[in-house]
Amino acid sequence: MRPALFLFTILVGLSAAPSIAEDRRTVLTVTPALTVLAQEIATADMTISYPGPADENAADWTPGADELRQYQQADLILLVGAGYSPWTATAALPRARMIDASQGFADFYIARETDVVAHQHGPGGDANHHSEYANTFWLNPKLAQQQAREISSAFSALWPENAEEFQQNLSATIETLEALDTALTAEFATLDNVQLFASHPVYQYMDQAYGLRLHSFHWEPDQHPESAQWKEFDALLDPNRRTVMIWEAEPTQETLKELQIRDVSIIVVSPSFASFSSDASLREKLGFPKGIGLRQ
Amino acid sequence: MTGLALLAIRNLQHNKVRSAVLIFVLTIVTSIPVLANLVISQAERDLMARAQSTPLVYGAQGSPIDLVLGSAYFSDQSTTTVKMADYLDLIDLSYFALAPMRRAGTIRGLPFVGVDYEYFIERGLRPSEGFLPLRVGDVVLGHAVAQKTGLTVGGELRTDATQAFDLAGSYPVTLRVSGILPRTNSPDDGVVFADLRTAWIAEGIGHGHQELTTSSDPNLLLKPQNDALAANSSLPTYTDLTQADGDAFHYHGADSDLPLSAVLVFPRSPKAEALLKGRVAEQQETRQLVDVENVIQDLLTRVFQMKSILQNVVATMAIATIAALFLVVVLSVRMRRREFEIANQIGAPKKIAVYLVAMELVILLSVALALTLAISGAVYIFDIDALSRILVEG
Repeated sequence: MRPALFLFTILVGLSAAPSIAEDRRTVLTVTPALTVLAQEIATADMTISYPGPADENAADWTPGADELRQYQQADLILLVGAGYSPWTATAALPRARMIDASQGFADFYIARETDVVAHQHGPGGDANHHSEYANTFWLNPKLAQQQAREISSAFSALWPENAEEFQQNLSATIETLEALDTALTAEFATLDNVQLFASHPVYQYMDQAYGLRLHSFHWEPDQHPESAQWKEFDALLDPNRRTVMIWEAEPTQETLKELQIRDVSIIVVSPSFASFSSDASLREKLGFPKGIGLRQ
Repeated sequence: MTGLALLAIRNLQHNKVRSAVLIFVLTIVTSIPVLANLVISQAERDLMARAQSTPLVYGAQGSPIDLVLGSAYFSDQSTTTVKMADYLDLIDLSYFALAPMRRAGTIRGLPFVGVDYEYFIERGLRPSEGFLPLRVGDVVLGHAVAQKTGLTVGGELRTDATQAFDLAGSYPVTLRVSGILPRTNSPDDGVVFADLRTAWIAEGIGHGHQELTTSSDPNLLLKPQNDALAANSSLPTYTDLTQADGDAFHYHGADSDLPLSAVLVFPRSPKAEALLKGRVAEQQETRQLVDVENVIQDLLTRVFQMKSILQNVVATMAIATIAALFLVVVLSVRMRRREFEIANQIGAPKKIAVYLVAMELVILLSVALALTLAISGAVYIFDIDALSRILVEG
């Protein structure tokens, strides 16, 4: 009798498993940072994920057919907005379920230089808007808080029965982000007399929040800069100050050596990579290193 | 009795042409009302089924019937457009699902409709082959479209030219079949679906063209204007959406100004429906929210009026046919007077003429009714839609 009962229990369990899986609320994002913020606010029965590869820059990633189908079937799609993940403009996605996490603060967007050409049709034609904005908002924890609020209200709209829990989680997330902001303010203050460079123009909101006066290059971490780029770099070096260069990922050994020769320290702030461990803090998951300061 | 029937059959066989004509006429007279009833009942069922699966339609102020027929049944009614901004204002995930749509002309004479992905979810449409549109340029075919065109997944098709004599109009664009929908016995079977953006590009609202800054062809340039380059009309416009890079396409003007034919609304609860009706009532001068079932009920009331007119026509036809039949019988009896006299002389009852003619009529009517039943049964079992098309399109 007991083996039969055991078998029955297993069979009932197996038949129930798919329906439990189907009932799971699925939220997909277009960048790891939004996944992290959404995970902070979500309830335990929600699956929040970014389907792109962990070792690839999410800002440059374009999903294939399988990933697009995943996006189509998600309950919600969290977007960064401001031109991040341009593939969303030509993908057939459920528009009402696409939540632009930065829609609440469009007035604070920072325009950036772009190589996209604006044009119009005829003298009276509408000019098209290829204007581009900096979009790594979460590097300013104040803006990350606003993104968290947008995410929370989208969750509450779709699942009002959990609105209270979302609100509690949001409050905790905002507290954490406030603490992060305080810590970053103190850490960046130690670099007050330091010349700051950035390998790529992706730190505009961090620059604005902490008054860094960054000069940005267009260098890739996995590519060693050419001699003309080093010449441009050297011309900008201030011999009277220490220099720190912020990178999206660890540069190549060859680049590191060149930087050491010039007495330039590096800091890795990677806003669009998911290469962090699961037990990392919110700070690390948003792309910041454990501590910001001078290091060789 | 058997002898009478035998005599009647022999006589009908002897007058083959007359019998065939009479059977044909009687079959037509009995078939028309039966078939008309079948078609009307089927149309009523189809219309109501669609109406019940499409609770509300939001669109520009105008004829509610046109709005419903255009958006839920893909008829060719042109209605004033609403804007994407209207749709974006309506979005409320907790209260209703929305399916914005744009009728963007035709492909091989069949409706070409741009929809949001939500349309497929709410209608429960999952492709039987391939997949739903994933990107600009992908289309999914209704079951009847796939059968009619013979297209399969991966095949290519072009939108129909709508402005043959307008040189500044939009060019037909080439699209790729990404999937085929299963038969649904609904208007979806006869439609080519794409994403809204594909529909706008097909209409010429969005487009992609060669970048002037990278072009080495001096013939493309009209004149330099300050820092800008001015191209002449020979600048190539991409018309093959299966090949072009999606990023090459753009829309002039704000996304919120892009046009929609209608927005289908699927409320989550009666409360949600009431709330939305209240919201749209505030903009009733320019917008309307139509209850599809009510509109179709009104339409069917008119159809029933048509049905009674049709019944009167058929009744009149039947009276005329009976009169003609009476004439044929009278003439036939006169012609056969000698035959009936001989029958009386050899011992047949005096009323042999009446019995024989009545028996012949019963046989003719039985054959005609059997044929009517066979035709109606075949139409019912096989394809009422085909009969509808024959009756409607001629």
